[in-house]
Amino acid sequence: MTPRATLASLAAAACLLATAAHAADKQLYIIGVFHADVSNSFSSVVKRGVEQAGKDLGVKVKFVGPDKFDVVAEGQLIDAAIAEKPDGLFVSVADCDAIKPHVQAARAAGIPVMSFNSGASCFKDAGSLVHIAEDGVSAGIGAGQRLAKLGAKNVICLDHEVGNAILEDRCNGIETAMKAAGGKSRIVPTSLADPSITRGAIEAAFLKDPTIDGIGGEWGGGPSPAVIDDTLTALKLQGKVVVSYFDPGLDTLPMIKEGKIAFETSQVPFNQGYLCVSFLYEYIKYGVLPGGPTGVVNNGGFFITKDNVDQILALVKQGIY
Amino acid sequence: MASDLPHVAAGPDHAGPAPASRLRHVSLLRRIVDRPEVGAFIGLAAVWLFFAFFGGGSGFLTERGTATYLDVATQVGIIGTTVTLLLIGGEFDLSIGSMVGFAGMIIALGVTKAGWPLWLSLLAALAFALAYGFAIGWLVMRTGIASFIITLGGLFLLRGATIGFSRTIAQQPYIGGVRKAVGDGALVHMFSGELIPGLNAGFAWWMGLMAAAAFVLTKTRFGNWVFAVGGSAAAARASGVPVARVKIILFMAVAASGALLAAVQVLTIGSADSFRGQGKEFEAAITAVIGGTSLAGGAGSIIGTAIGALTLGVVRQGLFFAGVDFDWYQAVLGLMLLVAVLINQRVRHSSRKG
Repeated sequence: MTPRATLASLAAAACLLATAAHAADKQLYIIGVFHADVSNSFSSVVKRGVEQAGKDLGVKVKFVGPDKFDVVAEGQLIDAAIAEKPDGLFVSVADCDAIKPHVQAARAAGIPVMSFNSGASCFKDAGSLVHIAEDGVSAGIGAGQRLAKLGAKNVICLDHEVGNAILEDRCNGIETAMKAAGGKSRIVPTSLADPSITRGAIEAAFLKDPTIDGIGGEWGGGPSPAVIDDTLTALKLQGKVVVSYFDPGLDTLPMIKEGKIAFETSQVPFNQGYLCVSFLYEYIKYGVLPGGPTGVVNNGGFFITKDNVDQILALVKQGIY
Repeated sequence: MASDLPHVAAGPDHAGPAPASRLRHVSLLRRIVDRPEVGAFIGLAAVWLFFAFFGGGSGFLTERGTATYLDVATQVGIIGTTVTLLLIGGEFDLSIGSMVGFAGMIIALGVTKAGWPLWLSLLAALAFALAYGFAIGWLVMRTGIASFIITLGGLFLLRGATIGFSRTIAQQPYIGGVRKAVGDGALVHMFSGELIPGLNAGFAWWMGLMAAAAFVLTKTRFGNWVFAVGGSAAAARASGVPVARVKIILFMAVAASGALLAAVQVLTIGSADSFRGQGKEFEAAITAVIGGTSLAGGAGSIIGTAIGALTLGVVRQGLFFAGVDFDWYQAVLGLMLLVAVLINQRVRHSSRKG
């Protein structure tokens, strides 16, 4: 090959490479913004779902959140995301007033927006196309039906954040299902910050009403399950009460294995992240939307029991649960 | 008079070289390098270039990208400006972040629950802030207890009161629907109007406040007094400076700037939350220190603090554009603070030697 020919073929190769690089540039880019840090036991799993979907679909993804719960910083991050001109955006709407203008700025810039996790009451008004989250009432109904099937007739629904809408929805769902099965349920407030309050509340509930035979509502990833376990042992009620939680934690999965906890109802954080990316991908590519007329995709209500807890524990080790 | 004091004598706006060095010939370069803002500016330029390189392709350099870090800088810059004055005056306010939350709650509760007009709600927040600043300042001066401790009490008192009041009045520590309640008047635009996409009126407030503070500090007798009381309260008192009055006014100014930030936040965001402003007390102090202000009092610069606030904004939003996890934000902030303090100390040390 003459030097000139070598040069020409090199140039041609460079051109080809450049074209290939250009094609790769056309890869879709999707950004997700959360209202809190993306490294806690819940959001880090959402993040894994986002990354996995990106890998599976060949989409470039980024999933971010402020270093702590902060909707002001979330708004600033959404603005920064808009500056990156992504092909799609998904955000949690933890505060409708705060996040709506940012969603609308994204829409005005021609970026399709979906929402996840929080914002069921206002995502449409804010300008989000589809909302991917647990529906608290139906998750509660599922849990209540299962409690009733396992023999519970008188359930206390523990609420560690009185006033938080989704927790009330869950407890209302449990009550609906219990009533339908001929039983009953009522809310007992507990505390995330102070385990002694949780302990006192449960002891008082059992002292006042020894016929209580079921526990529901409480967050499995929080500090309460360990306290409840101790209290039940102290009251010699272990095995006499059907115990269930929402969303698993590392403490509770082994308790399911031991039979101390009957089941946990999970909102599958991995799915939340994965679905956001894949729904946006399908919308951008094909213009189709899931969710039907309500625009809500309910991804909660998955049960973890003795039968699948080993599989879930294996997934936890991979960061998928 | 104040001009007898070493820190003031070194120059009206900054505590630069000690008086003896004025008598010696000091080269222009030396004088430039000795200014605390220069180090801060070099730091800002360095982080900006870093993120322009690693995040430039993804929007950091666009108008919108710029707007987002200016907005972050605005939030901390507004309170950083007055906190700098207070630090120069030799005191510290740990409760400014909680004040942002409390004042925001007054404004939001006022317009949504009490049915007050916006101007009255804003006035109530400002009045409360001034009264609180006076009380804290008076307590510090009266008891001689370190302001660090007094305002640590204020931090928890105000934060707890924000949660307690909002829960009592509205059953939850979050008030939404402010935008609907206040409508769309000129007053709303004054605090929340959009300057360019992504950047709101708060930026203009920051610039205005900064100009006013810089003017007061460098061109007025009160500014001299601020340096004097921070350098040595005893010496200042001996030369006739009303130490208590100066410090109390500074505490009031800090609290008032918290109310201003709260107004900007509540009206742009449309809601108040008992979490708002958490951690801002430290961010404000960090911007001041990055800008060359001494925690020992008697030295500091308003422009330096603005550079510090910009640095904070560039780093936080830059991390996003560069695709770095926010898990690292606080670590980067801490590292920058340490580097800034070490550089400042070196500069002061070398300038003292002349």
